[in-house]
Amino acid sequence: MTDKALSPGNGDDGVALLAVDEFLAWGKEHSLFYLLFATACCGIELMQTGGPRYDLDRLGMIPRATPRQADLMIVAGTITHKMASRAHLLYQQMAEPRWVVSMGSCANSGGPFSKHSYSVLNGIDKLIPIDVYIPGCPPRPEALIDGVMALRHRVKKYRTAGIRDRDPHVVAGGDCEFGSHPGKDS
Amino acid sequence: MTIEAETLDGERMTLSMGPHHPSTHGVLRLIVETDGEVISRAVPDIGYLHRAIEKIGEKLEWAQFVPYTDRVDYVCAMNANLAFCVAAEQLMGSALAPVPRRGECIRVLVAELNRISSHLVAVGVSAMDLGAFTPFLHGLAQRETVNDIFERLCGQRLTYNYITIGGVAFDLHPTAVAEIGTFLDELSREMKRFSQLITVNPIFRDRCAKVATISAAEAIAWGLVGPNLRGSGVDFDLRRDEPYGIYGELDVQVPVGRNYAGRHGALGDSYDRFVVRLLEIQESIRLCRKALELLPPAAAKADDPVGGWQSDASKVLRKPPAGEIYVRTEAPRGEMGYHLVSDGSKMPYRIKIRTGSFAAVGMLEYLCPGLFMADIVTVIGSLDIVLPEVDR
Amino acid sequence: MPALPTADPAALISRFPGLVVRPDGFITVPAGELPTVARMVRDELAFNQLMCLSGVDQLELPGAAAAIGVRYFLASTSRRLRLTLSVEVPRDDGSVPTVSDLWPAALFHEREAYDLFGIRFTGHPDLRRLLLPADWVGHPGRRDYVYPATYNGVQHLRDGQRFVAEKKPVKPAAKPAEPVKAAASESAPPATAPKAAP
Repeated sequence: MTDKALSPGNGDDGVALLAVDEFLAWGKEHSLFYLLFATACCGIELMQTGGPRYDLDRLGMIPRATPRQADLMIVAGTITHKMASRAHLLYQQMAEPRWVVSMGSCANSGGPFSKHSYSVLNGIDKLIPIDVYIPGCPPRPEALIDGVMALRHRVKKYRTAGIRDRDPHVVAGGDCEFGSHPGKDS
Repeated sequence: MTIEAETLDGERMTLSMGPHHPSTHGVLRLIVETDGEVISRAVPDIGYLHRAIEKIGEKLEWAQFVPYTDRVDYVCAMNANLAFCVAAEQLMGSALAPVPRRGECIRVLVAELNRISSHLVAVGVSAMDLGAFTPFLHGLAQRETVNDIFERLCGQRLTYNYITIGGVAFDLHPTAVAEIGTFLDELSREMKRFSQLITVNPIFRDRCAKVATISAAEAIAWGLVGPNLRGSGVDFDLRRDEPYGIYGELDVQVPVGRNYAGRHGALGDSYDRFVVRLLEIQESIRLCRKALELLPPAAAKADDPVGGWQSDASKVLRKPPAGEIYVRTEAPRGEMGYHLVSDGSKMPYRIKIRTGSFAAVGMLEYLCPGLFMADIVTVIGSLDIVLPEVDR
Repeated sequence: MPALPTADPAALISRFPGLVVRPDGFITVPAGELPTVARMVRDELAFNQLMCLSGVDQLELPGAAAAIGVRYFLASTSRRLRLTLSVEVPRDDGSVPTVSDLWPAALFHEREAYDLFGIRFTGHPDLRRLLLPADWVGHPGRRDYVYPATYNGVQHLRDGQRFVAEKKPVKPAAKPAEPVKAAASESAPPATAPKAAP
């Protein structure tokens, strides 16, 4: 509905009638600035997703170095116990509304380090709420983009009163196959 | 450029740079004490990515540790694989048949390709930290091609687990030789464009020249290795001076720093280290071409001594004899050494990984005083620090 | 594969009779003699490069004393030789003189060995934990290290414990929820009635 109201050539030149809430959500959906929070291997894939071939910028996603300007935190890489408090602090410094994508097995669950390592946090979801989990070690850029597209669907549904989906989405998880997230067809 | 800190009269200020900072290349934290714009003290605080890889190695079998070496240095995972496998093969000694000839050629091929892609990131990122974004994108575009070749080879883009103890996991895919040849031609042309973009750029050169100059004696004493050591004019490369695999036959040419910035610079400054990396890309292109020439045709059997690629096709449980060894190989960030201790069982007793970035971070506290605040990113970029190597 | 040849230890042995040459060429040095031996190795034998400094907990290593071993892997860039020194210190409260005044590269290596193995390097200018947080308990490189159950209030898996995801509650299949609810409401009053009675 929102997209239709704002798309050009719908009859009412330059006039869109919709709730302010919907307008803000539409704006957020198309300009998800993300925090460059790359700690380990997934950071290189995140970098290459922002690079020339996959070009995350075309989705309106610009990397931000400071959490104050970011809407989205992509946790890319292993979080150790020493780093955990910093990750939590960065999350707290982000302004509402904020979303978190957990990229890669290490951020999801500790990954290959969960079983025998003494210093790795077994999943960043112990500290901060996660909206989208992306499995893989590291995930392909396509998987990251798929997770971001699923996130955009729930950003679109966000309302200022705080209505938001709390149930985390898993890319290629049991609920949906790879590439068929709920936001794809609507 | 250095300034005597005593001549300035300012108030001391302590800044915490990192662990989340876009130009510390990961999760390095520097506690910087500045006097105005001049650094009086910089203490590195590391360990934010300490994943206990060495301890994990004590809980796994020898061959199971290879995937973890990928994660020791993910920018050049092939070289990290190679370093561990060469060390483990030397520890096993005669218990393991030597790596087949074709396997050795493939190892050189993938290691040099990965060195190219690692150096592309290194030079691209160090330019990006100084404000030049375009060369970084050019480097990434080429890196994607290397990733494509590796993905067809072993199914992964970043963490390959391709080189194994006794050879490599699979033979080259049918179109690999043609793909690599095309890529090397394309890269040679691209490197010329890359140099025009950034290497001769006077702004970039002046930001790097005479910053963090390291003399040859200092570089050796502080344990700098690889391009950082060669940037200071020390002619030392493990591929030539302590050859492993078939590097002894390849006649490796070693580029060294020669004060490339001319009258603006000094021997061993950040600009020399940058140029040495660019020259090493050229050298790696040559080594790849040579390895393609030497590549024998594939045999039907994997453990064929000439055309095979894996000497230990039966994959029996490997138990090296009890002993202790330190083996070092040349990774893109310099010497990657493995201190392996075996008690004769199927699991390693102790693994210690010595990496190039660890020494470079150790030197930061010595290098930074007297530099400007803005020069810190130059120093970190020119030393090419990658944090998982430091923390492990 | 030709690694650099190991240096002939004769020159060292003639000067320091306390040294023992192991079969694999490592030279065992008593901790007290390390500063003089190391200085001679660097200044007279020209071993200018400290390749690696590594700690080994020899608790379960067969054929070795149950001590903490420190290995110094040295190389000479001019003479193209390598040499390994080995020092053994007691597991409890052991200390070794620092070599960071000879090879500054040892500054970080010694801090790491202190962090992971608890070896105190006397004379080191800044001996703090390097990799782990300052409030970490224990030295994880040791063989008998017990993994922490929690750190900073966050639960940690025990060593070897598998990560098990919490199972999602399975959604009821179709519509047989109604009779179940009815049954529950029927059985509910008897359960609450005795409580309400007094």
